[in-house]
Amino acid sequence: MKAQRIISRPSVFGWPILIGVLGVGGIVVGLLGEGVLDWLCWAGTGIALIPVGRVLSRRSSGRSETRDKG
Amino acid sequence: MKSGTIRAWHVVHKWTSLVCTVFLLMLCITGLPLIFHDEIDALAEGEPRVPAMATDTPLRSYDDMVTTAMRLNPGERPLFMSFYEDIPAVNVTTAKSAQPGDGEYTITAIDLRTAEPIGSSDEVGTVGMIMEVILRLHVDLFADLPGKLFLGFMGFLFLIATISGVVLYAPFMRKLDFATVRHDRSAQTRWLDWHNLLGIVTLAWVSIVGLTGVINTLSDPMFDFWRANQLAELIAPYKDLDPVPVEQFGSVHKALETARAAAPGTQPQFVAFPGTRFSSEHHFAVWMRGGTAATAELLTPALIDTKTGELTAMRTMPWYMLALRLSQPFHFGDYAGLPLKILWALLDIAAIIILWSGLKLWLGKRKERNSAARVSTQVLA
Repeated sequence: MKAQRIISRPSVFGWPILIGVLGVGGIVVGLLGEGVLDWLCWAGTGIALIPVGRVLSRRSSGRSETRDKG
Repeated sequence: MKSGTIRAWHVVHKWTSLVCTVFLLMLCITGLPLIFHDEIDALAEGEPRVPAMATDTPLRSYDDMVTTAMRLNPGERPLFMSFYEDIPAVNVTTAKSAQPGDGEYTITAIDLRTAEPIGSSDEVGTVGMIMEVILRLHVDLFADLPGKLFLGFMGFLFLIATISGVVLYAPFMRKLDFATVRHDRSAQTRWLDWHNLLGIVTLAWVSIVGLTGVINTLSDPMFDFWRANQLAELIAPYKDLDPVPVEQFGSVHKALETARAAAPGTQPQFVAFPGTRFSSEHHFAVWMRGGTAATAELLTPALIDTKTGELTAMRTMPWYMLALRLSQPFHFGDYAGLPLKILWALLDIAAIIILWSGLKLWLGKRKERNSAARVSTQVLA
């Protein structure tokens, strides 16, 4: 029997890659100095929490999250 | 991706996660208070305070600090001297032997202007003891090196679970928008969506903290390797000489001046006295750190002959020791103030939810499978 091939869109990783790159950049940049670099560090490290906050705020405002593409 | 490949990755994800989850949960939970250990220690015990004096008050010799520590701890020997960045004081560590066990040493904070003590590790209160227990659980499960290596292996499994989780993320999310949580579906689906969302957005942080945690568990073997190779090379001319007795230790003040002169632009991080793990039997090892934020984590030991006070050798650390050194701030998140610590704590809580949701998903599937099996047995009967 021929194995079923599941094709995933490259866009699945679009946002995660952006968040990951900014996250690593933020974590690293904080070690290089203070002042503006600290702010960049906090922004980069904290960016991962934005989508979580968005989901939580949507949930509290009662909007449905289900948007299946299939 | 072929469905067979997905199944294989799923097996890898399931079993690597299941094996390490309990330990990772323990690490994440104990890690939470440890992120704020500076603040907790300061609140509970209070930072050593130096009395107000004129800013141009001259500093006493570092040898006076050792003399004070020895007077306060008779029968002990000096092991380390470390330096405060924000107050004119040093910590002198003393113990009965050169390489004492955990808790078998005393740390005395001494004012550099008066050579008078301003605090001691003997004064640790209940909170300090609780933090010590949490730290030991987090670092080695009270099992020293075997405990560290075991936790390192758990961390390694966690990294594999993370990689396999990323591989599985694509097929699971192919029909969904990024950051979708289907609140109108079953609890199992909601947990899966939260697991996927938190897992993918915290991937960078989890990977860095996990990898640096694994590297930290290897600190003892790495340090022993450095001692056996690099340090052995540096002190080869001394290898046939008898260890220098404590009474014959020379001036640590002079050793510090020599090290500072040999490495301009750097600051001493700590001094390891002869006989300790961080030095040889014949040297003060003055560990110098870079003077800028970018180089502050890079340590270079300057070996000063304890009898002559002359610089014997100075060599930058090899790559594996640099990796070890850099893995500490990246694991602790203590290098960019309180906001970074708060973010570290929030991401740690996210990691706890990832682990917990993974466990719930597995238990839920098991329950479903068991009830399906019961139904088919009843039908067949």
